[in-house]
Amino acid sequence: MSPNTSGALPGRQSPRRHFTFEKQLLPWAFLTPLLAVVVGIVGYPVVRTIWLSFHDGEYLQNGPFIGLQNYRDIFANPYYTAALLRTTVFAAAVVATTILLSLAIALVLDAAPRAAKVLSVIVLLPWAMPRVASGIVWKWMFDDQYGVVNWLLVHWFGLESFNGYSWFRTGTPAMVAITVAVVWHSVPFVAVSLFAGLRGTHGEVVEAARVDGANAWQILRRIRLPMIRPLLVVMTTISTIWAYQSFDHFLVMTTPPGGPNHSTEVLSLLTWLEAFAQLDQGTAAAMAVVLFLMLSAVSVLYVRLNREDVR
Amino acid sequence: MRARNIWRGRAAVAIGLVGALALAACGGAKDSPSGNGSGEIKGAIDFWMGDPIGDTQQPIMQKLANDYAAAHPGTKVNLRFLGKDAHQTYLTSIAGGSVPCVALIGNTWTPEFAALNALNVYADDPKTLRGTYVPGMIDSTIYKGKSYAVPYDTGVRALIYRKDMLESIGKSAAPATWEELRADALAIQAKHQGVNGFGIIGGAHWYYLPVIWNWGGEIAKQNGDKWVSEAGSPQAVQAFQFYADLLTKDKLSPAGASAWTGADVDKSFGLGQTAMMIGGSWDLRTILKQAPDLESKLGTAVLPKGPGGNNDTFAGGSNLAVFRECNNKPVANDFVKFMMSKENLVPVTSNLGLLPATNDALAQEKSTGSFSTPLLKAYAEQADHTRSTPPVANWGKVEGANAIVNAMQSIMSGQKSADAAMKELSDKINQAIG
Repeated sequence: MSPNTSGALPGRQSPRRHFTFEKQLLPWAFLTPLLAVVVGIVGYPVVRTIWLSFHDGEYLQNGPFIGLQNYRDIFANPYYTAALLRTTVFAAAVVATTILLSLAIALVLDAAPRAAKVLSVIVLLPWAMPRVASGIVWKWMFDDQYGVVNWLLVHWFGLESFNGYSWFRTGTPAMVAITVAVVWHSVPFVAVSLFAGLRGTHGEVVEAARVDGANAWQILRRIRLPMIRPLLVVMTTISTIWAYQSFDHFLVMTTPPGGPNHSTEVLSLLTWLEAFAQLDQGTAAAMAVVLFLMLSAVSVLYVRLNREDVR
Repeated sequence: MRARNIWRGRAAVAIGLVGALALAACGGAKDSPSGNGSGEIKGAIDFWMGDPIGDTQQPIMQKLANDYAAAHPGTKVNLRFLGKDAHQTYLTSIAGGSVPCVALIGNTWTPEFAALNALNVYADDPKTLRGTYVPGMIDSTIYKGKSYAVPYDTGVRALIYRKDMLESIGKSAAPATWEELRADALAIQAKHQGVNGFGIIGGAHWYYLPVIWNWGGEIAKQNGDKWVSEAGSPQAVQAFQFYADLLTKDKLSPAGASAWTGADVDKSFGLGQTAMMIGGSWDLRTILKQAPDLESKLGTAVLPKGPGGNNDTFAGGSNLAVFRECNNKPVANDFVKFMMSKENLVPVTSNLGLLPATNDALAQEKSTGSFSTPLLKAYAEQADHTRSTPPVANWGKVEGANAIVNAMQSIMSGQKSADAAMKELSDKINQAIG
């Protein structure tokens, strides 16, 4: 900037001051209402939950500060540690199945570009269904007496042992049934997203590879999948977060929620039971904070994976 | 009552923890009417209730509220229906200090709200209420020796059975004892292929916790100021063992019945696949709606007795409570009196399909009212044989944690012996209520 001589360029100074205000203050002025909302509805509850997790609390009335006692309590609770492990296994199963199935569907859509428009709408339909409603329908489908799943297994696949088989009597089959329901619900979004990603991988690179004699599998494995890797990372991350937060299906499909006998308790459900059935918001807050930290770690991992990708 | 107890367990669909706590923190808006310290019947009150049977009940309650205001010029009753989240709404409003004046609350919530110091004392000595109200319902209003609410309506369960199936094994009367029920159910199963002798409900504790009483045991006993669990007692262990054996040894229902709820048995009974079951008058309605042609084949009877010589069961229902922070108590108390008068009480309870909780109105319902029909008479008789869950503030925690259901399911699945499961349950109960 050239030095100003007062009076010589009176007009310039005022635009510059104006410029500073516009550049530095005005954006904040515009942002303030939104920031206030974000801080109010995101920041405050998060801070409050963390604060609660360090306090004794019962019946929505806060008790004294007790340091890390809530955290010690939950990790000493065998049902919590079991739920932690169970949720992790469940999330791994859901994410792996979701991504593989979605990729398969995306490839089918990609191979049939004409039908894809209609097909992708059909594929997306399950996603539009409320989770509670789909959970109830899946519970009926897995019913031991009248369910269509047992009927199919017996009459189509000849598996006689599934005649009157009770899926929700013990933990493992109940988890399988819930996994099926959750995957059914999460596949559509991921599949359509991956389909969109795959659409962008038809250019010269693939053409060149084909000329060089690469077969379809090699093209997919070596070229197209690496090209949509950022998208795969995002989808895996989102699916992981969704799987860890699964709640509705567990609530409506098991009796009692998380049962029989604790065998389908996952972290979100246990947190909810602790908060709203046991009315112990201190412990529940501690559980929520642990889940929050775990999912934050997943997000950080995702950011780093993406950064390496750029490199 | 069943509907309310379902609210407790599943009170809300995922409002986030933080969301509700934030609500609790800022729920301070006072919309209560202006104070009335003079004892005059004037001004407005807020009256809250859930609607356990849905919308059909709302116009009836609204009419009551309007009638009251019409009879007392200068007053107004602001009626609010809380829906299925009622329990949580009460808790958050108690924490936030903006409570209604009068509320119709689930009977099992009464000690809990009293412990939160939210309710007005109704009677310093609950003994004075004996004779006026149904016994089990008085018990549900008591916390630390005082009564905090007026028993309003009550619902009990009784035995529902297929007369034709019992006749097919040469029986003309319903089983009077649990042992007899077991034998009859086995005989029916032997004779009718594909029929469940008895509908077992592993997923809801209302169906087997009272069996402890039938075996002569107690759920908890008062010891000085404290309540101590009796779930580990031999009677309790034997009672749970007996109920679990009905499923595991006698196979009176499909294996999946360990996770069944009342609705599953209603469905199975309605399809003609179950011969006997325990259910409330509301279950009877559901079944007859589903299968109207069953009506001529249906019978009801009081519950079977156990070795303890009684057939006591839970009294479900609702109590009318006046909140401590109500600032128009003259109108609140007067409105409660109005609600409790027989001519205002009976139309409401009969519409709900429940029994009135005053002996006077109950007698009328039994002799000439809606419970004098052959099918419903058993429910009125069963109402004389009721008890309440232990009147401790934290009983809700025991139910909320599904501790009782988990104990029964772990016996049914063979994961634990009855002894071990009941010992664990006993510890859990003591942890919660001690």
